[in-house]
Amino acid sequence: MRLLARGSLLWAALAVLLLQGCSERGQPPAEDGIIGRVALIAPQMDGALADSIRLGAEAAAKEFGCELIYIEEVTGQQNAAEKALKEGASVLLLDPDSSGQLEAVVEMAQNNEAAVITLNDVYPVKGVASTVTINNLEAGRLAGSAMAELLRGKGKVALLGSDSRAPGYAERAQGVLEELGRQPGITVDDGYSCGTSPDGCAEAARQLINEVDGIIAVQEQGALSAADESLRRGEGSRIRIVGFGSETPQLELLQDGIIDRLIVQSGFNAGYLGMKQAGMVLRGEKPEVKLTLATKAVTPDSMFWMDNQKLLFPFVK
Amino acid sequence: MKRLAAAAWSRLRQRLRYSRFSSIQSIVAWSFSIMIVLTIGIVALLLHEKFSASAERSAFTSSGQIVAQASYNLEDYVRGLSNFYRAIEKNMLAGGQWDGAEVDKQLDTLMVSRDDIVSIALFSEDGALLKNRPAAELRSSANPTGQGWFQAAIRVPNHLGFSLPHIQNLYKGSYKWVVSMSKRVTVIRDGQPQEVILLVDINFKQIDELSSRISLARRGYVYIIDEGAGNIVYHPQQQLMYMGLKRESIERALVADGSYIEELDGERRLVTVQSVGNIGWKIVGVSYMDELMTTREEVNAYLIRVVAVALIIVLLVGFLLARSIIRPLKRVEKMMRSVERGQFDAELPVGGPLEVERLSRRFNLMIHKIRGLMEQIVVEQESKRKHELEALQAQINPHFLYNTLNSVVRMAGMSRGEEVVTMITSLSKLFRISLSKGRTLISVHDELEHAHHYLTIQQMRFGRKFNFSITATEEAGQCLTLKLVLQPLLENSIEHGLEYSVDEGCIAVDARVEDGVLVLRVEDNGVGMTPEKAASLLRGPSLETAEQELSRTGKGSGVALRNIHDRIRLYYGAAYGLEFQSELEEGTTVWVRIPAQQQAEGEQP
Repeated sequence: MRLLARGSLLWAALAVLLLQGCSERGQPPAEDGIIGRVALIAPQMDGALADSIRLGAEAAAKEFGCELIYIEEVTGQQNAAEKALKEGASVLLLDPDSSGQLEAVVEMAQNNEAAVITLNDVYPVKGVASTVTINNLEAGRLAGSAMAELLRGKGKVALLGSDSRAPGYAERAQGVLEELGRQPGITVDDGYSCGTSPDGCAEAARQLINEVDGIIAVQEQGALSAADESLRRGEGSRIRIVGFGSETPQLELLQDGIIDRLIVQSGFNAGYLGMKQAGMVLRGEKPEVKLTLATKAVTPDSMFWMDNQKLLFPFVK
Repeated sequence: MKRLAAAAWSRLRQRLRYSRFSSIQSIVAWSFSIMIVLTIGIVALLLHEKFSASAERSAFTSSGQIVAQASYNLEDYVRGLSNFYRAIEKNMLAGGQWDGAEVDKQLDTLMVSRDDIVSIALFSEDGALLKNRPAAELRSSANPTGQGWFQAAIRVPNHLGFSLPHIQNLYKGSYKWVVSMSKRVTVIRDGQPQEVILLVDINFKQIDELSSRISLARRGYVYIIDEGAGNIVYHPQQQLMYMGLKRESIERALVADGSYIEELDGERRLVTVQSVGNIGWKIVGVSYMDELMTTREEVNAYLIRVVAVALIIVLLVGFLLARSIIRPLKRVEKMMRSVERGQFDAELPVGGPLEVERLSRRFNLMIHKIRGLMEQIVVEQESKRKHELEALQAQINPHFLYNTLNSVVRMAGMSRGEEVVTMITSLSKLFRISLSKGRTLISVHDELEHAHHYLTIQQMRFGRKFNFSITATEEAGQCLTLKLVLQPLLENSIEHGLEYSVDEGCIAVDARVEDGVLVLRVEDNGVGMTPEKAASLLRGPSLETAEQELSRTGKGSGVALRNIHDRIRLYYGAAYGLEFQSELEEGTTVWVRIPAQQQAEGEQP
């Protein structure tokens, strides 16, 4: 009897083993193969670039199996980062406002075992997993050479700088100065700055418009203010303006020929590559520490070429 | 190298042969397991092939269906747009009159009915804006005649053309992605024929959504190409392509129709191409094979699990099965081992599988046989010894008789008639007791009498060189003993102890019962011997060599003593026999111990 009991117990155990082995594994892998959650903290400037970044990030999220959430940056980046971490993000994608902000965000992320990937700017902050940025120095050189070409190698150029501490602006200015320094016929006046407000930009532009043949503005607002001033004077055709960025007002002024050249970057690619790096972080691979994106100079003629259209005008959903 | 490998192989085989792997248990377990696993494996392989093929087929079919559906949707959409265009054309250009609030109202109504219409505009042949809805100022830098849709309309009159998606840059205030529908129409205005170009811009968002909504697994997507020029109309990652981060093999899609598999950048993709009517576009669906084939991986994983579980179960069952076969065999082996150690009374329980049962029976039979043979041998050996001993016993007499008779002759010669009578009488009594009607056992009383006569004869032969005394308790006298155990002892005392002694010898024989043991003691005061020699008297040569020795020397060397010892032990057991104590120049004492056995009532010794 005892033998019988022992035997049936054994057979029961075998049957359970068989059933368990053949049944589906208990925990299905995350739905649709999602490997993790990435938060895109919307950049501080609204506009075409932000839309492009978002589109690029979306495309990459789909391709690399990440879940993308958007966190609106209403009350500062720190709060947005905190909210993102609370919502379970493992990677934060953001365009940092300042070195201090970034440090705080990185610390917060590290406490939550999350990674930070920055877009557009390189800050000397430790603990950033990856940075996707344009080569600002190269962009500055591109702007310088565009201006030299516009002025046919002769004339007086003003560099409208920035008071922002973001290292990107300084690098752009340096690139411009380097490039124009190689032109013997061009003199550069780099003593002007936009300050921190549109008014400052307009002020500087008003002063410069009579004194120089061309203005290079490292900030978006600088180019806009210079173009406004040029329009106001009705001298759009005479003064040459080279700017950075692809915001809609800038593009309108470019189409109308008030701004002569715009140095643009692909927000889509920045978003895409940032997301790709996030995907690598989530899969436990080592992301590239720094990815550099190419920039391009567009003219009123070339801005509607098929490839530039995609670059300048994101599909807005 | 080869030899080394061969040596290693043979070593392995040998080890396998002698290890547990060569046991029936493992052979049964493994062959059972291998057979089952092989069967499962083959079935799994066949199922896997079948599943995979059908999964692949269904992936192709579903991908084709999805893309076809997308194509129909797009076609429908385009047809709807064409109808819309015709409605505008009719409302706006029917009477050649496009000015006036009435037309504006009609156009506005039409526009409200669709939310994807961005603008409607009418241009003259030289690019001048004649009318637009919603009314917006034309950009100073706008150049309608330089635009693709304008040129296409001029090139082919009366044909509704669809442009590629582009940015509408004619108006101030906004840049929108649109697809432009344009057509050159000849209208009669104020009686004059006039060439006009009607432009309707559709928000590209709709087509973008139509395309991006289509889901081909997680990573799959669709893109649209223009069949005529091979341009990409829509691609979800067009920017990546401009940057060289992505490639697309448009050439093949342009000429293809239906599905094909291609390999691009190291990934296998299923591409499904479907033409979209009316507009000259092709919609291309791309799915990644690794995603489509997840069914195959799932089936694989499932089958691997099933095989693994089956293997475990089969191993277990095989092990148990083998053990149930092996257990009775092990029992037989254990029993054999105990038989090996000498336990012949073992008996194997008969049971288990038929073969094992037979084996047990045969084993038991064999053990029985062995036991029988052994008993037979014991009996034979015993009777052999008895015969030998009896022969030895008989051998004592002739030379004694010969010597005694010689003495009698000598005494008769010296006319010592009385002594002759005594000697002959003693000899006669000696022989009478010796014969004892063939009995082996006689009473101690008779034995002592026999000793008395023997000693008397010897005393006379040796010229009274020694005297003797014989004592016995009444109880001892009634006991039974093997006959003629004392005579060889006495002979020994006289020949080895007293013959060489210078003093007058003395032999004392005593019989008593101590604790149920009959003790016969023979003590002399002869030359004695070393304790080593005394101890060695009862060891020494075996029966055969003793016989040889006996026949060679005619007497002694302790053989007769050992014979008595053996006889007693043979009759009464190993606990009984002779014991010696001797000292040089002091004498020798011999004890004979046998169980005290009373003579049965009425039995005459």
